[in-house]
Amino acid sequence: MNADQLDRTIRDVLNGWTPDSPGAPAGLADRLVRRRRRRNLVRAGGAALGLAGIAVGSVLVTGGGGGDRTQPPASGVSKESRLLWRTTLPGTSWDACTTGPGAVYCRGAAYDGIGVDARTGKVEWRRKAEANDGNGTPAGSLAGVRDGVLYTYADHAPGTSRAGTDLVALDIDTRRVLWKHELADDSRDRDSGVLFDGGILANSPSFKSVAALDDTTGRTLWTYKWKQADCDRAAINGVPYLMCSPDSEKAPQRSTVVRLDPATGEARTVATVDGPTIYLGTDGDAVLLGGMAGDQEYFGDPGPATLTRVDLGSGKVSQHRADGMPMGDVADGIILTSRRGGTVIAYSADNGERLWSRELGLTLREDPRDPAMLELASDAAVDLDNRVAYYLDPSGHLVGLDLGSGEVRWRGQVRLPKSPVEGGVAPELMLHDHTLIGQIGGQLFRIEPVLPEAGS
Amino acid sequence: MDPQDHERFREFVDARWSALLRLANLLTGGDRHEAEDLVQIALLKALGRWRHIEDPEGYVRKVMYRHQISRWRLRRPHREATFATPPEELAGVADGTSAADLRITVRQALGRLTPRQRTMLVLRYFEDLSETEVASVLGCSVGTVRSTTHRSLARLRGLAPELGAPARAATAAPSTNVPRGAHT
Repeated sequence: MNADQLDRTIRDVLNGWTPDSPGAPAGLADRLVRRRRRRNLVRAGGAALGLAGIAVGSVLVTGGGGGDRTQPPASGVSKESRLLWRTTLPGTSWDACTTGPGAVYCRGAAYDGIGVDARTGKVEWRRKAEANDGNGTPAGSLAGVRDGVLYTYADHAPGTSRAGTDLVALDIDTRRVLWKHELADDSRDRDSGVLFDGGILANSPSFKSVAALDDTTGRTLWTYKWKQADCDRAAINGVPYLMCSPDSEKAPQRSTVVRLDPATGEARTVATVDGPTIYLGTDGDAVLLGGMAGDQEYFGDPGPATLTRVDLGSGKVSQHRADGMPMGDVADGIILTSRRGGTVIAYSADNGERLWSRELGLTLREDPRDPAMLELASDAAVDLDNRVAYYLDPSGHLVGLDLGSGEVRWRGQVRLPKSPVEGGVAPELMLHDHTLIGQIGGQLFRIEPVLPEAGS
Repeated sequence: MDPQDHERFREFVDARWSALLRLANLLTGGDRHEAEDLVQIALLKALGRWRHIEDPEGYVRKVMYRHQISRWRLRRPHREATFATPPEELAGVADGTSAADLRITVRQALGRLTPRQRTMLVLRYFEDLSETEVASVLGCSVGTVRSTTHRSLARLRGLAPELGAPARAATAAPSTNVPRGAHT
């Protein structure tokens, strides 16, 4: 066979080689969108302490009730702990929890909300979702709990292929829905509903707008919209802020931090910086933004970064070079960044300097369906009184790192039923009265770490 | 994701899944599971920059080629290929005379090439990329493309003796004048 004949034969073979199922599997595109959203949520969600829960957030913002910052790190690693309870939640698919006074609240595919007694682990109440057909979007976090109301998410049109999302105010005592408000986007992310002093900020009525809702009636108090930008939302010291970055290459290539008046929604630009940025979190009265300083394509790609601090009082901007994107949990001037495979790097929130890095020593299994995907550890739950950052892996192993040095101070384990590997999905860890509440799939537990004595 | 982007993505997946799966089948040598994984991984990657991509199909295809390179590096354990070929068709290989038999034999031989060799042939003969384009896509030199293509064809002839020995000692890479085929 000469070259031309071979050429034709190979072309014939390749062009005649067709798959036997030409159609896309039903709902594949929607599943991919949800899968990517989950990955994003678990990877970047910690920036504003969303996944660690509202209670953890308040501890970090307020300084945890006057923790002793001068306390020296203890030497030695404790493996002591006390498992207070472990509970198997009803149903199978759980995606977000938060803590409130004396209780843990979660939502999942089959339930818009359940309440668990934080003292005993007993499921006190549950509110079923109207449809559990897998079409709803999993939530990365719950909007929060305030004044006896749980702010959760539910399908707007249950049972349909495009279920959409409602922000739902659920009275905890009566389990009655006080109000619900349809969101523009069904991200169910940490900034889809943001509690601020005077209301709750909802991503509504359009993708590029927010509506401030009265938290008891759901009435719209004011709205604010923007163009040519993607804006992250956060409440800082009770005030709503937008952190906006250009939404395309055609948009003006600058990022802005915008303050929204809680009463009127009047917008004031606090600061503007060049180029696209990603919101990293807050450090005291400063907003932290990250920019790519190398030739990265995505914010998550490895490479140098620019850490921008925006002082919310004065609008003063300072920029610092970091050797990687310091994306993660911000606690007491330190940004804790998790890297693939279970390494944590601590950066100074002041100047981007790398302070320490530490292998967590947790078990993060490979997804057999996609070896490029590993299980993820939880975001950090930080106990500022003891200055320990805790992490949880999907197999129930826990580790506590000294916030100042990165040294391991505690290890623990909760024995759990064997679960399938879910690459890209992280468990959730929350701090509750110096104890840890963890959620891995349908397992919820509370454990009290016993830290080594200082100087031991 | 903006609802309009979401809708655009959904339409793209529905419309192009078959063509993308076909390419993935070739790249993976007929391993249906790997092929589906490959398309989904590429679609997920495209989702990350969806609103910035002007040519989604071109982008997704390029991701698939490159991901295939990273798969070589991962050295995944070999999985039994699940050819998109009915068993009765495979049974016809024995007489080795008809054009259909020859196609089956060549298809099986393609499935037995290394991923690198197979990818090279798929890019040259199915995607109709020029040597320069293949080099650019795979991040190697044009010389590497030529030599790999040459070796791939030699191995193909070895695996499928029906193709016979080359008439002359020249590479059988397709002419760069061949018009680019439309993506199907």
